Formats: sequence, C-alpha cells, structure tokens
Amino acid sequence: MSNGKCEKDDCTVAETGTCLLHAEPSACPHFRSESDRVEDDEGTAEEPSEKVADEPTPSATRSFHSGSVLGTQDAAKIMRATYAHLIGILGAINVGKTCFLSSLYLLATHGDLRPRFLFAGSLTLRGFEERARRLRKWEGGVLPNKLADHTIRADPRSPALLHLRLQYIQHASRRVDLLLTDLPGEWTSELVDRADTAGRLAFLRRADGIIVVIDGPLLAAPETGHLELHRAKILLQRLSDNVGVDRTTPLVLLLSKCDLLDMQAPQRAQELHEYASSQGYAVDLVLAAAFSTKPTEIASGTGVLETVEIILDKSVSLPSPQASPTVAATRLFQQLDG
Amino acid sequence: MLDRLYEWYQIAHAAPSDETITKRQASVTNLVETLTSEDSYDLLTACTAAAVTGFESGFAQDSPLVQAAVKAIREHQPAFPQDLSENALELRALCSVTLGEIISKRDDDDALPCASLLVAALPMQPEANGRHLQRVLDELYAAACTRLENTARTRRRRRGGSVDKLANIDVPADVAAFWGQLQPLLKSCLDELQDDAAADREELEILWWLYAGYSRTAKKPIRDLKPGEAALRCGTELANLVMIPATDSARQMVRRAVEEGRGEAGQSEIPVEGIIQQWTAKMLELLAPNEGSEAWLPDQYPALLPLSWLCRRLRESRNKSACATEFESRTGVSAKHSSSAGDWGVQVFNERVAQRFYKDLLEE
Repeated sequence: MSNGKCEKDDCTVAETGTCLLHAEPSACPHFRSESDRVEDDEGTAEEPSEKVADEPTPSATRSFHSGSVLGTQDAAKIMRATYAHLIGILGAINVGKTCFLSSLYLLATHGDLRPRFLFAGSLTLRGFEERARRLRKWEGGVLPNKLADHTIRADPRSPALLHLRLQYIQHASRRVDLLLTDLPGEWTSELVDRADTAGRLAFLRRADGIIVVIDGPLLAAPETGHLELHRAKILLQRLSDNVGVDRTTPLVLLLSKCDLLDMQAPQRAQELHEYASSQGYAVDLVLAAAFSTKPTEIASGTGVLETVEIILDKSVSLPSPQASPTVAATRLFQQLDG
Repeated sequence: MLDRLYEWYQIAHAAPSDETITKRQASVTNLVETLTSEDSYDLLTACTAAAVTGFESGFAQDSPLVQAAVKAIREHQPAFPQDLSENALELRALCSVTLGEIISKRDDDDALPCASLLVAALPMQPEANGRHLQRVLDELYAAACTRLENTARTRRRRRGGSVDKLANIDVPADVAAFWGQLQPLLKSCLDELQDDAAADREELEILWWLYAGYSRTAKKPIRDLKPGEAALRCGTELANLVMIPATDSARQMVRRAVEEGRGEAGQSEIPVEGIIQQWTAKMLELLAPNEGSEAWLPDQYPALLPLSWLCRRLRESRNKSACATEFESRTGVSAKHSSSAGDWGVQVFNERVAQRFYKDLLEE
C-alpha cells in the first residue's frame, strides 16, 4: 500500500501502490503523498515545529463486489449513488424464478431486449453466469428436466440480489439499474404457511415491483390447480397484511412454463388475476416461457421482457399526499376552491 | 420530516438498520442547524434545488452544499464516501428530510422562501425515476403547500383584543404612568388595524381585479388575450397584488381569470414550445424583470423557476426554438410538457410569488 492517494477516481494506487501512469507514484502529477497534506507550522527554530495535522479523514473503504450476488448492504452502495429499481421475485420451489432471471440475463447479453433496451453491465455477472451454466450443458437439443440449481442462501436471513443495468436505446443517457431478488422457494412457501416469517421480506416494502411466479401447468392441472390458486391468494394477502407491501406496488402474476400450455392461460389464472385486482393490487398477468420446450413455435424468453417493462412503465405511484393546513380559514376569501 | 426519515431514506437503502437511521437523524439535525444559522440564504436555496433535481447535475464535488451534507453525515459515520458518484442519491435523501424538517417543524420564516420554491418547481418536474423517490417529492410538496397556506391564513386572521383592553384600562392618577400603559396598547391596536386593513385591501384589490376581467398590463379584457398571454399576464398581475405567502384561493382565482369565457378551448393543453409563441418580447419582462445586478435565482437554479429562466433566456436570445431546446437541458422539463392555460397561469403565479420572497430577502 502506498503512503498517499491519487486524485484520479479510477486509480488504485492507495490500495495497490501501483500508479496507472508512472512507474513511481511520486513521479505522477496526480499523486498526493501523506506528507504533502500535512501543513507546515511556522514555529521558531528553537521550538519544535507543531505540525498542524489535518483532521484524520477516514477514507471510505473501497470494496470490490465478489460479482456473485449482492446482499442488502452491498446493494446499498449502489442505491446510495443512484435510484435502483428493486424487483422482488417470489414463488414456490421449482416454479421458475431462477429460470426467469437466467432468461432475462441471456436476453440482455444477446441484445434481445431491443428495441427498447441495451445491456449496460452488471455487478453480479458471475452470479448470472453461475445460474445460467446448466443451460449450456444441453445435449442434443433436449432440455434437462431442471434448468437451474436449487437456490440456497448461505445466510438464511438476508436476501440475495442480482444487478442488471439497462440503457434506453432512444435516450442514450438514460439508464436503469435493476436489483432482482433470487430467493429460495422456501421463503415464499414459509410465508404462505407462517405469517411470522414475513420479517425477512420487509425489504420488499421498498420494491418498485413484485413478480409472483406461479407454475402454469400446476395451476392448470385439475389435481393441483386448486391448491396452487389457494396458496397464491394467501401469498397476496401476506404480502400486504404481514410484509407491509403497498398495494399500489406494480405486481405481475407471471405464469411460468406456458410453452407446455401452448400459451393459453388456464381459467384459474384469470380467477387469481381478478382476486388480486379486487384486493386493490395494481396487477398484470403475463404468460411466460423462459426456456421453451418448443422454441420453433414459442420463443424462449417469451414474457420476460414484457414483465420488466410492465414494472418499469407502470405509473402507479404511491397515493399523493394532500396539503393539510391546520389553521382555519377565517375569511370567505380564503375558501375559494378550483 | 424526521418522522418520515425511514420511509424517505429507503430510496437509498432497501432496509436501513436502526443504527443507520439514528445516525441520519443526528445528521439531519446538524444540517438543519447549519442551513438555518447561515446569514445568507444560499445554502438553503441550494438544498432546495438538490431536493428537487438531485445532485447529478448542477452540483460540483466541492460545492458548499455537498461539503456541508457530507460533513453532517461524517460527523456520525466517518466511513461515508465523499464522491458524488457514490453518494448522490443518499445526499438527496438527506437534503429532502432536512428541508422537510425546516418547512414543517420550524416556526421561523426561514422556511417560507424555500417552500415557495418547492411549490413553483415541483409541479413542472417530470415524474421521478422511481415511485419511492416520487413519493418523497410528493410529500415534500404537500408539506410546502401546508406551511404556506397555514402562514397565509394566520397573517390574514383578524386579531382583535387590543380594543377591549383599551376599553378596560385602569386610569391611574399619574399621567406619565398612564401614558406608559396606554402607549403600547395604542400601538398594538393600530398595528392590528393596519394588518386587518392590509388584508382587507388585498381582498378588495384582488376581487376587483377578478371581477373586472381586465388586464392592467395589456390594457385589454383578459378574454381577448390569447390563452398563453392570458396565463402570463394573469399570473404575474395577481402575484404582484397578493400579500405573500399567498393563499391557495388566489391560485384558483388565477385559473378562473384565465379560463373565464373560453369554454372548452380554455381547457386544451398547450406545450411549452407552444406557449412561448404567444409571448412577445415586452411581455417577458413580467416574469423576468430587470432586477439589480445581483445573481438572479433562476439563472443559478433553472429547475426551481423554469418559466422565469425561460423568459430571461428569451429576452437575451429571441430564438424561441433554440431556447425551447435549451430549456429542457437546463431545467429537466421537456419542451413538450403541456398544461392547460389555467395551469400555466398558476405556474406563473407560483414563480412570481417565489421571486417576491427572494427579492424581499435580498432587500432585508
């Protein structure tokens, strides 16, 4: 570590001792050693010079993200700089949450978010790659039964977030940062089973959108559909009553694996949509096929971009507060309304 | 708005801890003291601009507000990044809470000019990039409106009481002592009468203006003016008549004056680039008067008083198309932003009132 720092933002000489421009940091005009910043005192020759030391300025610790996933503390470092859209993705085990994320990532990196967006980077590239790696092991064009590994959180109390930055093509200076949760299915199942597990999802009160992923074939099947519908309804209630999510938060009911349903919404999906609307949610229903079993008929990634666009475009804002004067109007003149 | 600190702070942190919130509360308290102890209004105005538009543009790393805000945070959390590239949104959250606290909790009049600026600036700003950020701005706007309306009503309330005291005064034998008792009561009575008369005069002036439907600056009936011209003239004429802060009813009067007699045509929306076509060079002085040589607030913070900035710019340039383009980059408001003529009139009114607040401050 060198005994100084550089005025250039991207130089790591303070941490590494290596100057980006010169062999010796001291030769660089941008380098400031510690001694340069100590003011000389104008004391007499007999008196020991009292160096007026600068008040120690603790430098903010520079940390480099592992690139895997972000926790809420890591995400705070992004969020404190610029507004990030937090999107909560909920759903039981194996419904396709991670597949949705992988599909979104692959669409982004292949330029398939056009005409609206371009991929502009990610702080969790490794996390996306790890999730997508199974998809690169297809053999003979046959999809494996499971496309993504079961999501396990090392810390059972804190959520994992994946970061994606998109750039608007029509407004090149406009970018949007997405923080997408990748939570174990157990978190959702346990929330449905026990309201007292709502605490660990409290961060969803800050969500800019929530995606509830529901297994399309399971919802459509006579043997399982009723239970799936029932649990989905409970989940929606828990989100508002126990987690505290505002019902004006854009909500997408994402029906996954709809390639197996020929992209036809089962009746129970409509019923769930109507239920969510009746509860006051700003809800949309999207049929999706993150990785299609019939790619020639139904493209992989169907419904994925649409879901993100719904959340970004939804202009349903929180209820606007009104001015509430506490001083009574004592003159009729002051009571003219528009 | 320390009571909203947790919710507002969520724009910069999904799940802030109790410890973080406690530290930020202390930082807000420090920053409130810093902003309100300054002799000049510059820091408070800068704070208002930062809350409205953020720190991403218009603020340098070494600007006084950035330094003050970072200092306020670092006093309680030394390990806080200094670079705007790393902390811009969090500083915006801090400034918003600080401003909200000053507007809603402090009794002194420091709050009024910046509340007036918020009322002038926020309605024209495009929707924020994020619902939670928009909530912060909406709540700040509501707090500003509430504060201005409360102050306006208080100032126009008939006080009374001194006349009764005068009637019930005990008359001592000693003339000097009697005068010592009488004088303050007389002064108080006269002050009350003067204030009541000022409020009455305001009502009469405004009501006659509204009733006459005549533009004093155009020397024509208001209904004979084009909608955009009516918006500019009515907004400024009424803003120059009212006592400040103005009541919300005054805004409704502007709207009524502009829309009177126009029918549905009066409701149709006009974009910025359209309304400036209806403004002549002479009319621009109404909202961009020839002030003194001191720095003019809209030039420093165009986003706070966008139409005022535009009028001054049009006076300098005369190229309306170029000014419309520049308007968007300087104020953050699209040149295609549309409102009805009545709403434009209210916007002009709000900006002119805010200008008057600042002119009074400078004169003090």
